[in-house]
Amino acid sequence: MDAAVPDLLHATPMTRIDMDATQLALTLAFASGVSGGLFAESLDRARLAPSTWQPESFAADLFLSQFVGACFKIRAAGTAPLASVTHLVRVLSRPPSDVRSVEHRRAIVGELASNAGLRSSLEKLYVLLNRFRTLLEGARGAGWDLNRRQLDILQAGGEIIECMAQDFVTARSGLSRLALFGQRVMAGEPYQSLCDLLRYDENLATLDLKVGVGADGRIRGFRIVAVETNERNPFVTSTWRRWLAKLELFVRGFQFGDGEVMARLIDAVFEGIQADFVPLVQLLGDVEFYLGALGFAEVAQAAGLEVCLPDLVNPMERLRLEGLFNPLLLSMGMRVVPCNLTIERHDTTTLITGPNSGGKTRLLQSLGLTQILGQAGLFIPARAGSIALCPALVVSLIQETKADQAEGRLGVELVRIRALFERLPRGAMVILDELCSGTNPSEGEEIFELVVRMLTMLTPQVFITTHFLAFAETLQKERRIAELRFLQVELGANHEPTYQFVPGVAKTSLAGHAAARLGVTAEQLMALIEKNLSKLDATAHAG
Amino acid sequence: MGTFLTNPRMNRALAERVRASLRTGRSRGARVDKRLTAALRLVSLVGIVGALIALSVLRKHADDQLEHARAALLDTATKKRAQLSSDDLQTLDRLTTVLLHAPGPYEGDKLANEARGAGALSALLERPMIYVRGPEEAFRSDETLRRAALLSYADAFVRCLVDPPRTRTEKAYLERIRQASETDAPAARVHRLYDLVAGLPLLQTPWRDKVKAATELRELTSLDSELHMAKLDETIAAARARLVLFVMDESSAPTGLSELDGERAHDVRVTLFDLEQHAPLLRLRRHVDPAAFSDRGRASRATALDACALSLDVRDATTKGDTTTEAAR
Repeated sequence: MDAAVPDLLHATPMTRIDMDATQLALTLAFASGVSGGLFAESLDRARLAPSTWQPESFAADLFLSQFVGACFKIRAAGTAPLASVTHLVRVLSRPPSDVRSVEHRRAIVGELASNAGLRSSLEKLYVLLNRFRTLLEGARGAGWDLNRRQLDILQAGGEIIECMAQDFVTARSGLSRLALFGQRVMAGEPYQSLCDLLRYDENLATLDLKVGVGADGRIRGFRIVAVETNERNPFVTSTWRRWLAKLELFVRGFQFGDGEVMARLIDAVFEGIQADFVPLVQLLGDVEFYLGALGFAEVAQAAGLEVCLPDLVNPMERLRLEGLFNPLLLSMGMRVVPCNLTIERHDTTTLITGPNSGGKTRLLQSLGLTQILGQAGLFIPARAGSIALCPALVVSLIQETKADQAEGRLGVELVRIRALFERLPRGAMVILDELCSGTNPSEGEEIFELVVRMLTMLTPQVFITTHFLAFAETLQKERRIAELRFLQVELGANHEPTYQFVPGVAKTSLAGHAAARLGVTAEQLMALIEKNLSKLDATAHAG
Repeated sequence: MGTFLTNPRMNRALAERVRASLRTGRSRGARVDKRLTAALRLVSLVGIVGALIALSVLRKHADDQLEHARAALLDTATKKRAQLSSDDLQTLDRLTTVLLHAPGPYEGDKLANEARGAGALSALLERPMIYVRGPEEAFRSDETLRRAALLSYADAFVRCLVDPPRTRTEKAYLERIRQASETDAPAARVHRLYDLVAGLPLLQTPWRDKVKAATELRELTSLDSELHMAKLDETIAAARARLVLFVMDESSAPTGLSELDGERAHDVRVTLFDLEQHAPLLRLRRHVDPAAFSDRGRASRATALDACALSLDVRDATTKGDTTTEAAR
């Protein structure tokens, strides 16, 4: 296994950040202390493994950024540092095409979830990485000792390497790369020189003292018994040689002093080790990815929900999701009702019907996020379940009206449908909310049937909500499209939605219930009119 | 290129990076390129070293000049001193002892046998001698004696004594005085006390120590001037003299008249002292009075006329040998 880069995201390790640019930024940050967000910029511009997914097809409709910001809560050593949302969204929205990388990530997540020691080590590593980042990116104040700062950076880097080499030896998943990387670096001369320099900084010599104490208990004096210099340290030299070194620096145009000698040694040590420090920038993003996923599990657990690593199945196998919930609701403080979903196979088109505010759109969001998380190799928002990996995800949940749009609502929808067919590969997942709702039902139903019929030719996983109840019932009865499946919102005893989904087509949208709940019945509207008129009359009399 | 920042215990790769840091690294807090800084420092260093070298060369040159001058000075002094015996070097001390004893009560006239008789004085005057004349106060301390020595020279008394006038007339006196002033020959054997006082200390150890201790050329130049102004040949000749002729003018009555040159009637003690035997060969006390001379002679040469007359008195006394003191003895 290549231990050159401790890549935790891909089965085949790859360098995703721009090493040259990052190394230059690292060098500048080390020298000046002002890097301007070295880590964030480098991670945001990092390459990702090949992916067939296009984030613009789903990220905004699924509120992916909000989901990451709200649910990928990283906790490490009692602190809650802010993760790089941009980087996490990029990684989540571009799942690797290589299934081995998905398995690679699932193995790491599984090991972290089952091994508290490794998770603790990863959190420790994250804290060290953040300290390293803070030291590098921290602004330099007046009177700052530059040598001390750089020694602190070197020490922080050394601790990271040591943590990687020692704390992940027992890992069996891709985390073992951390140990391999750390051990490789520790075996090298640059790391040995770094340790020697830090020891030289901390312990040039050891003095044996005898302290004289008077009758009153106060220290009256001390005597040096012996002086022992650390002769094995290559940085330790005799006093006269240090003086000559200072003189040499002065002649060469440097400042005269011990600080300048130390500066040259620090530069030499950093020059050697910096190439091993650059991958730490990428590693920070990787660690955030996994700790964020673990944080998501904890957020769900805090709400009484469970997450799981789904089974990866063939699209022709049964779709089964138990305890599926919408993670977007977690951050809203709303009651989250998990549901179970079972469909006889993944590569089918499912029409979902039910009353307004019955949870259809929330279900679509849950399915989309589940696919994203599952395909990224992370926990899905369900107690148990399976997913079939797909080459693309297209989601159309939001129909915003724009000031510059040339078409009406139906026109916009039709343009999106055309765009969908332009780039949709075979086996993709398609999620559409209220298809063709922008025109009269009779004409809309024709387009609806056309779209569904065409979609089935690409054997995708399709989930569509609709209020064309009669049309849906006809499709069900006549079985005009064999691949169609039907789910409806389950209603309770009082025709209230239970937010569960069962096979079949809903009989009513219960619009009257929604109108009554929102105050749009005839009596309620009449009462409002009478109230406004009497108020206007009173104003006229007063005038 | 080697550097003191590395050592043999360092890994070669690390040592190479240290060297690279020296080549390409930037100095902490430096705003100017380190090569420019190094160049400025080198120029400054070369300037300072150059100035130090120039200063050293100049200092060496000055030291050489100083030592050369010192050596020359000491050499001159040594050569001059080599011409003197240890007795010669004691002449001044002996003489001073005698002169400072002179102002006491007059011990009476005296003529030693060597000074008695015709031609005896002339024979004595053929020997080198030191001459000094001054008022009684001049013989009371080293300082006053030194001042008297400065003012004293081979005057009319000495010249008339060595080469007396033919007759005891004012005209003969004046003739002799004029002749004496035109030639120094008669006074060649008579040396000024000042020649001894001024020059002899320069040939002795304290003055050599001053030369050796001098740290600046200016001091040596001053000492050199002192040496050359001292007329050491005269000093040497004076130091070899064993006779001292001194004339002490006693104080006169305050009521007496003074001539234009200050001369007045007063008593004068004349002593010729043998320093080797530490005994006076001649000691006389005579009265001088310019009143015996013409107004014209007194106006221009009263002191010289008195001195010339006094010299004849001395000569007469030695010729006749009629001193009461000697007779009494």
